[in-house]
Amino acid sequence: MKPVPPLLTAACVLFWGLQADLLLFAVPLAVALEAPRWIQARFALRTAPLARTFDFCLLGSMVLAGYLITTGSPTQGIALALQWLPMMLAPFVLGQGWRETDGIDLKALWSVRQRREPPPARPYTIDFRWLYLPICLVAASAANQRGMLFFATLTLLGAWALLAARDRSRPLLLWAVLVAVATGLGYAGQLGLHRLQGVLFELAFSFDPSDTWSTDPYRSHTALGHIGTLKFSDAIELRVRPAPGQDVPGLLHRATYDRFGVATWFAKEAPLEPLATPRENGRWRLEPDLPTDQRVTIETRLEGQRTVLAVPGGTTSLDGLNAKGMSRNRFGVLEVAPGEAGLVDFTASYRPGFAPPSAAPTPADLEVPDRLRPLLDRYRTTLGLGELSPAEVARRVERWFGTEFGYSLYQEGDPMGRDALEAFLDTTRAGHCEYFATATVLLLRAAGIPARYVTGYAVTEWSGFEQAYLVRRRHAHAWTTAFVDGRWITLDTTPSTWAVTEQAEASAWQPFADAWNWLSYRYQRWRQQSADDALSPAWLLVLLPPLVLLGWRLRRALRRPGDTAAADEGDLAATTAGADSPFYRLEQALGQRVASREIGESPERWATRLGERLADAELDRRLAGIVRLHYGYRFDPAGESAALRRELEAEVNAWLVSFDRTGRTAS
Amino acid sequence: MLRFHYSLLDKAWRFGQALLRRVTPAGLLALAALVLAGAAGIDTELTLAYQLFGYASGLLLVGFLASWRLAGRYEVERRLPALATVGEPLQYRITVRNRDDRPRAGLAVIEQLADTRPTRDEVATGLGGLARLSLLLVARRWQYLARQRTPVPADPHPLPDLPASGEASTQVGFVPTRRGSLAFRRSWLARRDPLGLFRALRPLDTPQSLLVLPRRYPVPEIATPGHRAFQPGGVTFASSVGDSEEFLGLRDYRPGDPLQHIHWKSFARVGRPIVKEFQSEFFERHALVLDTATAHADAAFEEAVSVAASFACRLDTQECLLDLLFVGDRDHCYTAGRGQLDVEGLLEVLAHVQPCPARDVDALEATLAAHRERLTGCLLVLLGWDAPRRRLVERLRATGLETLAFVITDAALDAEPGVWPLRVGHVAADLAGVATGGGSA
Repeated sequence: MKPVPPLLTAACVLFWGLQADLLLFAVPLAVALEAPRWIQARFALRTAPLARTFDFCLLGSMVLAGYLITTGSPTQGIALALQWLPMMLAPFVLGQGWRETDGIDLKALWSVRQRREPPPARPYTIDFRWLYLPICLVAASAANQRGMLFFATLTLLGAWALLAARDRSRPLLLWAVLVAVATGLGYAGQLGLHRLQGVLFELAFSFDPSDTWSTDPYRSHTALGHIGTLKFSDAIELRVRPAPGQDVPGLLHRATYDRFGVATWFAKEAPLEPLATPRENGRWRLEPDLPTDQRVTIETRLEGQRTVLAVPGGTTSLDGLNAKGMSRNRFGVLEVAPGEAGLVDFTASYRPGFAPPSAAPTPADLEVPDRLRPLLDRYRTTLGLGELSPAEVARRVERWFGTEFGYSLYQEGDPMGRDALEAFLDTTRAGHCEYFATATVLLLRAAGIPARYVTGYAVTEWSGFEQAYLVRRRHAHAWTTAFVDGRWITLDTTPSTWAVTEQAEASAWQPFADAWNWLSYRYQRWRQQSADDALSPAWLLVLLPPLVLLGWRLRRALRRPGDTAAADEGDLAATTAGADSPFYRLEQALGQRVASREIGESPERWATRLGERLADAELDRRLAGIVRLHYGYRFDPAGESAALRRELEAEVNAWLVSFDRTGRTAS
Repeated sequence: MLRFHYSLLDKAWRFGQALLRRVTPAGLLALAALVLAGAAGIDTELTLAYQLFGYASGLLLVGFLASWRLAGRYEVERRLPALATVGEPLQYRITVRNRDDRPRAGLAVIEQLADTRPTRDEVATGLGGLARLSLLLVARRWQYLARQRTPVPADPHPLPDLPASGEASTQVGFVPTRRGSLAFRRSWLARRDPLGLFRALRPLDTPQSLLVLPRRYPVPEIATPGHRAFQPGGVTFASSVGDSEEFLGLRDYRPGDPLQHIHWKSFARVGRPIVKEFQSEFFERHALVLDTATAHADAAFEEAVSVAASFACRLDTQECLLDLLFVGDRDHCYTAGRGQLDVEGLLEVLAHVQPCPARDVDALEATLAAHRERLTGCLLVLLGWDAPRRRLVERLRATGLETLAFVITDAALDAEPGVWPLRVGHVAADLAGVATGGGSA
């Protein structure tokens, strides 16, 4: 391959430095990479030490990447590691640039040749300096400096490199047009890729209603009226462990709402306020004077921003939750401001059936939307709810939903265009938990019983492997809480088969995803536990693979010192001394353009024959000198081969440049 | 498992060869940029590498479309020499004729040999049991063998501009690495797209073959074992008597010829080495015995063949007969000398010799015994110095036959007269250290 055009490497390195804010390193590196063009001195660096340099560069890159990924956010760690890649590979690239021979045998980098086998016929030589250019560009891209500068500079540098590779038998204009077309296609392509990612993200989360229940304590968008099948994620959100000998709470409460709009529930006049009593001895007291005997430990991941906790109903205190602050509203919804992102586990003490006094019913708990009033009044009459006591109303409603309705994740569009709830009650008689919860709340209100809409999780799935209840995103649930006989009771009218139906919809990949989730979870726990230790085992995990790799390669190198590529170079040289003479490059170039050397024709005779066809006598004279240098390099055992080769290389390069400038041959 | 790995590597190798023909080094660099950018740009919010991915994709797409086909009608002729030698550079000419009335420029020729893939047995040979389970180790073994079989570079050889209805030629040079028949399959005519990323290709079938002789090493001036003796066969095998050294004539230099025999005036005149040939009148019959009792054609066996070839060239068959003996599917004996095979003939035989694991050193001894009566000296090239081989030499000497043994081994041998160890990879140096002495000149 041709050498890298002058100053292109420096341009790429400086661009990387500019983007990554590492000009302090980029400027001297650029100078060092370009200097061999003007400085004749070289290092006698054989392939084996250069290959070891490559090993250390690789080791350093892996260690740096491991450190950045494990000590911070993985994605940011990867981006930072990419930004530093040109610097980590610089010793190897500099070594190649400053050694006597161009290129490096690719096999020498990964040599595991058997001992008694002769060396390969032709070393597969690669000029790593070319590969260094896209590495610099990728590193620059990792700095993520949004704007047109990156793409514009990329196209300029690309065109610069392509100019060296173009087919010179074609018109330059054609080349320019094709580069412009390719650039236009590339620009459109990258725009498309960026948009495609956005579309894919939206599709992936397109209808997972549990995601909309996430952390908003003031509103909950429901999937009422959604046409098609609802798909819920299998991702594990919580791990729940009851105290020994105690039952696990069936439901974990997150948020409560009291106003119904069009497919959305709201919590009106329920601001979150900081707890009256701060944390004391690691305990958050929600109801200081209330003894409790039920406990459950919950493990979850907090992302760093304010989050609504999922806790059992009637929670009175929380132990072990390291948070900067905690707030609560009148419904008992808890919002925590975590200290930092990561896994947390806490123990909730709760008293089943307890509700704080601030949760007393308000007129909002009896409101029904006007558009649904006739529908609800009809069913109130049909079910005879007006003549019953509140407790009997609750039982009848529960029984009615349990016997007349079924659970379904699929909804068809209503041909009559009715309200989703009306279609649910009148026609389909099947839906998911939001339908049941919303219909129950509104029906109870129509019967004069205060009721609220509650969201949270159902705890149903036990994992023997983890010895914990696994709460997945698809276990997100909605139910009703009703004020009956002076207290709030939980009323879940969704058919009990819903959990089984959800489980049947689980992906076939769930076991593998769970295994990965468990490994990730264990690793994060372990990291957190050893975070303060500078020499923690986490470091062993990072360092071990590259150390093993390096040790294996060094061991192989030490075991067979005679098999280094340097020895191969010596053996090859003994057989074909001077076979790497730059003269052959000149011969090939002129063979294509003027006249090739005949079989058996000596270089001197060929040069004489060529001289008769050259337009410039000076070129002829210099060509004869090149042939003499070639003979000396090829046949003279007393000659200083390295210096002679450099001189010959320089003469050949200069001759070719002159030949291109003066034109071809005499006519 | 080896079968699965082999099948996978077979497909990968063919795809790789096709890719290297189709894609230029600049195109490979663009592909590498595409892969790097693709890996780093998965999240378009995290990095801008997706822009590099888009740009590289655009270049590759345009380059690929611009190299869709190679127009024109062409013929290719390859002028191969009859013989080549392992380790010696070989050059030959390829001529391309343009059958169109439009001139063409920017063309190049890529040579393709006949099937260079190693067989499954060859791949399995160099690997132990557990190693065969590792795809990485099998792949390395495969690649090493395949490259040994592909000395002709797959790089394009540029052609001068092709005039309308004219022709242009280029030289291809390579260094053969394996002895035996080297079969050419086809030549590909190629032209780069304007961006220089891909090549438009046109295959032209040009089946041809070339015999590659074994590598030869410079052999020192050693007195061949044995003495003059009456040779049955009479004047058929002897055409002169007496002792004199007479200048016979000049011939082309062959590797292994002493440098002091170079005729410098002729060298300067014709531009290639020419040597003087002498006649010395004594008559011996030597056996050059090649040990083939090994399971695999590994490096040691190849060195043994090379040593045998070196001696075949070194021994003056104008003055003696040389019987090349080795064991294969049957006993082989080839005689070089007056009216018999010439040296090239012996070299051609050696170019094709294969190991014979089924028959051991005893078979070789039996073959020698059948020829013993007419031999005056014996040169053995052995693959080791174990008990059977040591016994072979001792028994030969016990019959009064002067014997020299050259043992291809890396182990250190006890010094024994007439037994010379030659290390794999260092044969030239070890041969140079062989002392002269014994026998008669």
